[in-house]
This record gives sequence, structure tokens and C-alpha cells, in this order.
Amino acid sequence: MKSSLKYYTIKYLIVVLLLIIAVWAALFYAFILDEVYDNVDDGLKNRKIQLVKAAYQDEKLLENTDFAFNEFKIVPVSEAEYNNRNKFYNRTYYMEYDDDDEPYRVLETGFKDQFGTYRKLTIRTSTVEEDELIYDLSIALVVLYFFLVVSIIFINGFLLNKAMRPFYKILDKLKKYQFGVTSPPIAEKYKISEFEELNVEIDEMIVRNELAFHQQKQFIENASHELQTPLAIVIQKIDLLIQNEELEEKSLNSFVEVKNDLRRMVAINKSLLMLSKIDNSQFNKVEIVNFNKMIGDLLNEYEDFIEFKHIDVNVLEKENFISDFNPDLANILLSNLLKNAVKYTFEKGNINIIIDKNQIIFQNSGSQQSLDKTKVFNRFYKKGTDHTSTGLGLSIMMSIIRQYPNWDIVYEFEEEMHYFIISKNNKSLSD
Amino acid sequence: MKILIIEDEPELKNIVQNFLESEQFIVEYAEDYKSGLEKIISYEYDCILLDIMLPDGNGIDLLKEIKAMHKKDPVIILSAKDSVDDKVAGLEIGADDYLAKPFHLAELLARIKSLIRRKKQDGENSIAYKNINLLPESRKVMINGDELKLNRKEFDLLYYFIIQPQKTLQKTTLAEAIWGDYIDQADSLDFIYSQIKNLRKKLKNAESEADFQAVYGIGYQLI
Repeated sequence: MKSSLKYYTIKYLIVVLLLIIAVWAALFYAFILDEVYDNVDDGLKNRKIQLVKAAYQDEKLLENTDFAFNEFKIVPVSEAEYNNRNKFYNRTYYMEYDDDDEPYRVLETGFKDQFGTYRKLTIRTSTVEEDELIYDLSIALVVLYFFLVVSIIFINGFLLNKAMRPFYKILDKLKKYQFGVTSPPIAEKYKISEFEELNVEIDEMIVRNELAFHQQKQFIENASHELQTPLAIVIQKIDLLIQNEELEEKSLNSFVEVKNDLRRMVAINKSLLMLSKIDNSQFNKVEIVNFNKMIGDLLNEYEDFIEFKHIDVNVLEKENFISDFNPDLANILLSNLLKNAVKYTFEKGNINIIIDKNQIIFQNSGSQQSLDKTKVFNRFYKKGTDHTSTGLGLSIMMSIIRQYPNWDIVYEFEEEMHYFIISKNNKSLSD
Repeated sequence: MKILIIEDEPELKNIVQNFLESEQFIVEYAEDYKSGLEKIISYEYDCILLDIMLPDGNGIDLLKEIKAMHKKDPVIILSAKDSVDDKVAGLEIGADDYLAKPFHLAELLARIKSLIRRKKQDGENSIAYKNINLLPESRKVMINGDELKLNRKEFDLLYYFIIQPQKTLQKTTLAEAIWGDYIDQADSLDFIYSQIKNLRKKLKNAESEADFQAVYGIGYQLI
């Protein structure tokens, strides 16, 4: 799972802190308890000495066979039961004050009295309630843990915000960065050397990339220039030959055919150039484009052809399709769509253009068979042996659409009509 | 009529030169920026054909020099870089026209002729052929003094023929010159035929003495 830098560290800190506090609490508890028992036991041992001494002087004490006011009892035992070693244990006794059994520390030992009788001495003293100690300690620790976590989150957030601000700035810069659009490098002073380095490295990388991009652009343009010039020479030489009136008709026709093929080469070359320009995002200026109006203008331009082929064109404008787009690309896109529709519609066919708020549909009649939906936008996809097409028109459209996230173009075939549907996601409006 | 070609590609220069000379122009040429600039400074031309990519400089810069000298010579930029940027830059600086390579020679001729005519505003404004009189500025066609109504594309078509009468114009040239990128090669042949047919009918109804003649497989002539 991905989490922001802020939460990434906190996540680990919280877990580790919990472990540390748990281990620490166990140790602390053990030490405290040990120290308490040590103290209590010392007190009990001291009392034993005092009691044995007192019993020797005052034999009445020997009659104290039960815990009464005194927290000790002396009972006579047989020799077999006699044990003069100090034995400590915990036990609960009823305590009136609490009206409950309370823990006591008990010392059990034996001594021989002045009459030579074996006696068992039991001394008790009230001691800590372990369960309560654990309970109190836990509450204290939970509170501590809570405050630690809160203050860590707070300090962490504050520090990260402060320390990472340049990082987020750099991130923002990268997000806004667009290939081919050189923005002046913003000189920034960074307190943290790594960010300074990062910024410098990124700026250098951008410069290097832009340079490579520029060189590539130059290369493409030069390559096209190199190709266009010999093409131009050949075409124009043929032009001159055709002007020559001494040529016989047969060779004239051959020349015209050669020229037409050469012009196709020029068209392919131009289309490839256009594709690489689009893919290099060289059309990155964006303005508000009214697609309805543009379609209307284009229909005017195509009027002659539409009339010539007796095509029935219907434009259904349900809504205005207006979007931020590069106007040149929009023009190429729409004119390719229209040209495509006009070209593949048979005489006396139909073209329907349906404009919605977020979608434009171009429908045209034509071939009875569907095109291959998976390949139709591929470069050099051609149906059969159509040598009048460059095979690049549809892939140019796809390249244009790919320049805009949330936009899509699909091909459908339904009820003997070919559909090209351009749609944009609503999200792009809020962008 | 004197024309200067500034073009570093000798083959291309030769073709354009031969073609223009056959059209009765006097053609001079320069193959680089420096010699081009010298020629422009020393002489006056009716039209300058300027290539953008020159071995020792950029045609756009040369154009700036021309404008800085307040020369009135019309300039047509010839560029292999069929890029919108260059076209816009060139026209903004003051080029009079822009032709992307490869161009049809007929198209070049048409543009040169219309530029030269535009420059000579004192001269006669109309182009006459037989009993047709074509007025390029007001886009009117007169036959025997009566106006013949033509739509935009029909006018362009007739204009193309009338500046090059009795020359065979190829169908593809006509299609690209008048309908530009909008037309697809595949459709152009029949399409041009039908456009010519329409125009021919209109001319005939207006009792024009000029007529179109098909040159089989190639194109049409205005005779």
C-alpha cells in the first residue's frame, strides 16, 4: 500500500513505540515489585529479631497464637515441624477497612523459646496490591503512549511540512513540466543540501532532455527536408516533361502515373512527420475550441465533394461540444474524420454527425463489413488493397486523442453504419 | 519580368529556372544567404523566391533584411519544412506568399503572376483571354461585358486556367491548388472532371469563346 511520506514514518514509529513501551513496562514492573518485596522482607526480618528478643523477656508474648492487634502469631510445633529458616510468601487476609481480602507479605520462621519449646513464628504485613499496581501502571502508560504518539504526529507533521516543503515544490514543478515547454528555471535557496542537489539535478536533466528533444525534432525536420527535396526535384522534372508537347500520349500517361505515385510518397512523408510531431507533443498550445463551429466550417470546405458524391449529411447538434484543445489538432482531427467519412461513403450514402455535450459521433454508410476494431487505428492499417490511402489518417487521430487524458476514440459497426465516436470524460472539465 | 531564385539545391533551382524562362521570365539566382543578400541590395526584382534552409543562414533572416531595407520586392517563401510555425513567421515578417515543397510548377507560376499583378496596381487590373475578362481583385468574370456568376471554387479554377491559357494543367495540380488538403487523391480525378464540366457548361451558356479541352489521362487546357 502506498502512503504519503508523513504517514510512512509515523506508521513504523507507532508500532515500535508500542513495543518499546510494553517491554519497558514489564521491566519496570518487575524492578519495582522486587524493590518493594526487598524492603518489606527486610522489615519483616528486623521484626522477627525484635519479636524473638521480646519473647525471651516477656513470655506472655508466647501466648499470642493468633493475629490480633499484633501482626504476628507464635504457635508451638513439634520438632518434626520445626524449621528455623525464613520463609516468605504472599497471602491474602481479610481486612476490615477494605472489607475484602487484601494481599499480605508473610514471614514464617521457627525459634526455640527459653523453655526449649519449638515455636513457629508467623509475621505478616500489608503489602502492595499487584493487580492494582498493574492496573495503575497500565493507565499511566496508555496515557503516556497516547501523548507520545500525538506529539510525534504533530512534530513529525510540522517538521516534514517545514523540511519537505522544497520537496513538494520540486514535485509540483515536475508535475507541471511539459515536454517542449521550457519554463525559466526558478533559482531557489534550499536549507537542506539534498534538496538543493535534487533541484539542480532535475534542472540539468530537463535541460539535457530538452536538448535531446530539440535535436530529435531537428533531425526529423531535416530528414523530412532531405526527403522532400529529392522528391520535389523528381516531381518537378516530371512536370517539365509533361509540359513538353513533343511527347506521345502513352509516355505522357506513364509520367502522370509516376507523378501521382510520387505525390503519394510525399503525402505519406508528410503524415509521418505529422505523427511524430503530435507524438512529440509539439502541439501543446491549448485554447477553447468550439467543435460545433469547426465541424460547420469543415462541412463548408467539403461541400463540393459532398455534393459531388450526392451524400446526405445530417448534423444533429444536441449540445455544444466545447473544450480546451489545440486548435490545429482539433482541425486535423475533425477534418480527418470528415474526410474519412466522405471517402468511404458510397455515392448517395449518408453521413450523420451527432454532437453531444461530451461526445461527437460520426456515422457513415459504406462498406457492409465492419473494420477490424483492434487494428483500425494502427499505422498502415488498410482494408484490402487500397492504394489510395496512406494508412495513417486514423492513427493520426489516435495520436491526437492520446495527447489528451480522459479523451477516447472508438470505432463501432452497427446496422450497416460505421461509427467513429470521440468522447471525453467529465473529469477533464474539472482539471 | 525579373525573378530572383535563392535556393541552394542546384537541381531544384535548374528546374524552376528552366520552367520560368520558358514562361518568358528573366531568372537570376543565388545559392546562399550572402550572394542572395548582395543581389537583393544591388538590383530590383519583380519577385523573389526564397528557400528557408540555406547553407550559410536562414531564409527568414534574409527576409528580415529585405524588410529592413524597405524593399518592395514581393517574396514567396519556398520551404520543405511544411510547418505552421515557419509559415506564420514568414508571413508575419512580410513574405507575400508561402509554398511548401514539393509544389507544382503551375502553382508556382500562378502565385508569381498574381503577386506581380498585385504589385503593379497602376497597370491593367483584369486578365483577358478571348472574350473572357477576369478581375482578380473583385473576383468577377465578365464575358462580352456581362457578368458571369461563379462560386468561389469555380472562380479559382477559371483563374488558374486563364493565367496559363493553352497549357495543359494536370488534374492533381488543379485539385491540390484549389481544394488543397481537403481532397484525397483517390477521388480527385472524377471530381475534377465534374467541376470542369460544370464550369464548361456555365461558360458555354454565357457564350464564351474559350473552352476547355481534355488532354486524355492528364488534365485540361483552356483553348
